[in-house]
Amino acid sequence: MANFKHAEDDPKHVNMSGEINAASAEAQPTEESFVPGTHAGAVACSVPSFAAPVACSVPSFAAASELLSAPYSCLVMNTHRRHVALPPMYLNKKRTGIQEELEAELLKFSRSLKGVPLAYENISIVGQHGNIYDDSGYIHMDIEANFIVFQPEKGQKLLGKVNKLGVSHVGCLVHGCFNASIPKPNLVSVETWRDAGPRIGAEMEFEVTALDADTVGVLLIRGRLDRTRVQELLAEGESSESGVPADQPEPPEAEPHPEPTEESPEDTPKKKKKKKRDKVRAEEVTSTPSCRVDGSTTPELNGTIIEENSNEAVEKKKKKKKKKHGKEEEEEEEVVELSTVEVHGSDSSGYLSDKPSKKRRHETGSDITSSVGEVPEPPKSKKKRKSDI
Amino acid sequence: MEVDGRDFLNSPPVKTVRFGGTVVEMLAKHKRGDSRNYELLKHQLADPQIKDAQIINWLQEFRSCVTQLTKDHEQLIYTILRLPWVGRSQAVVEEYMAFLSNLVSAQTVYLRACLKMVVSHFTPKRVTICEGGVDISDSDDEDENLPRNFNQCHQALQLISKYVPSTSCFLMPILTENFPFVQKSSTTLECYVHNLLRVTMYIPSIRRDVLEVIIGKMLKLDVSAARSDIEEAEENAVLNQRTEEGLFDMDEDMSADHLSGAAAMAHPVADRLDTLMAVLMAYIKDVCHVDGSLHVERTKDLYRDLLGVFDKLILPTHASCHVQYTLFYLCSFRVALAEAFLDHLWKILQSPSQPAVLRQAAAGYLGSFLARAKFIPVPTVRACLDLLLSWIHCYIDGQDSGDRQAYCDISLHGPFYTTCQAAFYTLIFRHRAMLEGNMKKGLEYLQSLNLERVVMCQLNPLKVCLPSVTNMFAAITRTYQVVFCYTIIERNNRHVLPVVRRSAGGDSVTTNTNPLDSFFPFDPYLLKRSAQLIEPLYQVWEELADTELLPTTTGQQGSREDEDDFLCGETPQTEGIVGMTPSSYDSSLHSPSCVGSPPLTFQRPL
Repeated sequence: MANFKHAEDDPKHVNMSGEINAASAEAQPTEESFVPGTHAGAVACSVPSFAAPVACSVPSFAAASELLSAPYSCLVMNTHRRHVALPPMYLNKKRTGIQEELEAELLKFSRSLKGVPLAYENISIVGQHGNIYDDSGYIHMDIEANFIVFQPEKGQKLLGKVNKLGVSHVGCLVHGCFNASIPKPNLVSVETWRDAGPRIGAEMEFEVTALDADTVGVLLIRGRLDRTRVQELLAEGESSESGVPADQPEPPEAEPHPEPTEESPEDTPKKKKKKKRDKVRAEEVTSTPSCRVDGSTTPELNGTIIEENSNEAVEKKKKKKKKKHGKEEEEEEEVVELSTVEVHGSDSSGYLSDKPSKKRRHETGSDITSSVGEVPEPPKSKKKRKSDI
Repeated sequence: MEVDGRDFLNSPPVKTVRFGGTVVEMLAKHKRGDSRNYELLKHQLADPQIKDAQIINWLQEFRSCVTQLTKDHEQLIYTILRLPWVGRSQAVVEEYMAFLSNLVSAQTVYLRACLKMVVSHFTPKRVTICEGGVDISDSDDEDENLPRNFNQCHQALQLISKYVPSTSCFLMPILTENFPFVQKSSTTLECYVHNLLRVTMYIPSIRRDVLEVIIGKMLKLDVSAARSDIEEAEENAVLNQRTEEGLFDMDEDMSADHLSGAAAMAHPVADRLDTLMAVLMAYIKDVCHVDGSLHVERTKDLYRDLLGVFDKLILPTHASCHVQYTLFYLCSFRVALAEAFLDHLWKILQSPSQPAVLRQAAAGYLGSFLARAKFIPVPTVRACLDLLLSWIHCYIDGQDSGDRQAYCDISLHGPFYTTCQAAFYTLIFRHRAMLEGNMKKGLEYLQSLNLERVVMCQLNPLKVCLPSVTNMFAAITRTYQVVFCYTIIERNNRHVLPVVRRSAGGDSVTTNTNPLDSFFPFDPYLLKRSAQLIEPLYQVWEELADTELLPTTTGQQGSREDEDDFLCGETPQTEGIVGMTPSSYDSSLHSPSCVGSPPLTFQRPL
């Protein structure tokens, strides 16, 4: 986190020094006193309450500020100062010019804001005069405005509305305009995912794992499912499987499509695993594979066999979790450190994977756009093997 | 959309030739550093002769591992996006759309790449196949498929914007970038504009921007096809046809003549503009009409968008000839719209904070619109004249009350002069309608306008107005004994002489015949195809029955024999217009003699 904050401060400095020449350095401490002055000044053009009449998906300031207090909104309202180069045609309508400038940036990821501006109000011009440099006709000025910024950070929770369910991911919309993509947990089978996975139109809670943005500012939130949700899915998948009387012939039935043969290597092991699992179940043997560390799996197994118990099992598991990683449950930020591996709820692996995940975090902590979602894949599959059985 | 259902379905694989193992294996290998298969796959995907079955197979695999196609695989994604899917079999198209929706939802960072790909299909691709040294173009086939291909593109775009609602924020720059160069063939431009307009049907939030882009491009065409050039080109085409007439059988020629006349303009730029105008006006009509009747709300919305573009682009563009007819056409749907447009122009005209250039342009539009729009009822015209003249009188009052003597100075009083000219112009066209029915009341109304004061005032508007307007106005007011202008005209002409001498150097004669640099935006519409929509709404100039005018006209005719000769022969209905209200350019370029020897011409009516 400290890392992050540092990054936050940096661009501000760059901005200031870059645009407002020598005076800027001093301007920063006196920023607060500066602003009221401009309000009184002739140049000030403050917009009391501006409802942006823009594209349908951009909420108005009022609507956005209502969202501010909503749980898991990840919205922040702050005053931000920025530089504007105003085309000369706006000389007598500065406000229109500035608004157009700002509006063009709504919904686009901005490095200086460390997020995506959703709405703004209270534009004020900092300083008395705009500057014209050399023979360029643009009027350079600094403005300040209240922005509502969507600033999700790794590890934070978000609420999204599902709008797409794919074979390997679920896509959802946060605040109706930001796309989030959540990969299907690897241990959940495609059928379970299809039948019991997120429904289109449903609200879904997920955790941010990374932010991705392209050069223009198209934002993609990469997330992962809630631990409990994964457990539910898993349980559901197992129960639905066990619901079928004959266990053995089930896998071929469930996957009538030829896809698994040519699908990912992740899928093939999964299938093997499934068969293995089925066998184990059929024989009612509780022998533990070599990779399992503790005996906690017995209740789990029971859960998979008896439908009604499945929820209970999940809870038990959770409790175990808590015992194991007590700290992580208390602080959200701790969760960030844990790679997806832990979230998928294997009780055995906590310590094994802790180190690599930390390493990973160090790699990716510095820049937001690095794709974390990809990295934990291989360990995940390992995990699957462990926890699946 | 039926594509949704495909997500968990895979069609049975068809046997295809392929190398390099499955996509997932390939990705895993690539991650480990072995990118041979990766490159091999890219190579196979880029093969222009790729088979349908291959595309389907690969797309299915990509779809199932779309979460792994992160930014590291940018090149691979671009290769996939370049796959030739449009116009392929239905299975390929459906599979491709399923893939697109998955990609855009799972890897939104590729949104712009996908949009670019879709937009690139907005223009017809001419595929030429080289067979035995002979280039065979399959453009004929494509013509049949074009609607289908475009449908597929729009379906894809709709899918994308369904899954990524913020598409509208990112689409516009891409649409602008991909606009074909204005010199491309009219088919290309037509297709692109058509598709742009179609996009606004399902992403209405970008409509204003889209209209702005389209109209901006059309203005570029418009200003590079000057009215005189178009007329000349048409004239030449007709002449050519005449010479051919002697060579060919009459029947054949008739049909050919008919076809070419309906299909194309002789002037290449005008031809392109004509096509685009037809598309745009068809769009305007479609948007405003639901089931054949006018939809008021939608019309208003479109009017607002179009008016925004008008303010931003059309109004500041000097001497555009045709693009402004889009508003003309839209306003014809409802009198209220026309009145709103007039009101808007009036506000610009009288606002002291607007730049003088814009105020003058607005006055030109106001006058021309009042004069030419058949659909504006006489009471509205009267109300506008009242407004204009009361403003003019106020202006004169202001000048009279000042300490200094007002004198004729265009740079100071430009808006005033253009307003006067707009009023005169409107009167010239509309006086008959106003006097019809009740002649006495009409005359009383004309008297009440107190035109005499305007004409006689120190600012001397008749000196600055276009000579054609001045002459016609003088003739009409003389007929009805409202104002007698000829003494003033004569005096002005005498005063003009030294100015000519001073600028005898050359072209500066222009400044004298059209010192205001004014133009009438709704001068006759020259584009053939789109003219069909304008014609019924358009007030053509009807020659006055009164013979007083004739001397003036003959005088002008004498000065430019060639042009008028042509006009008499070919387009009789425009004869009067050219003779009487030449667009500012005609008068300035072709009739310097008006200045050179005015006394003769102007004395005769007296």
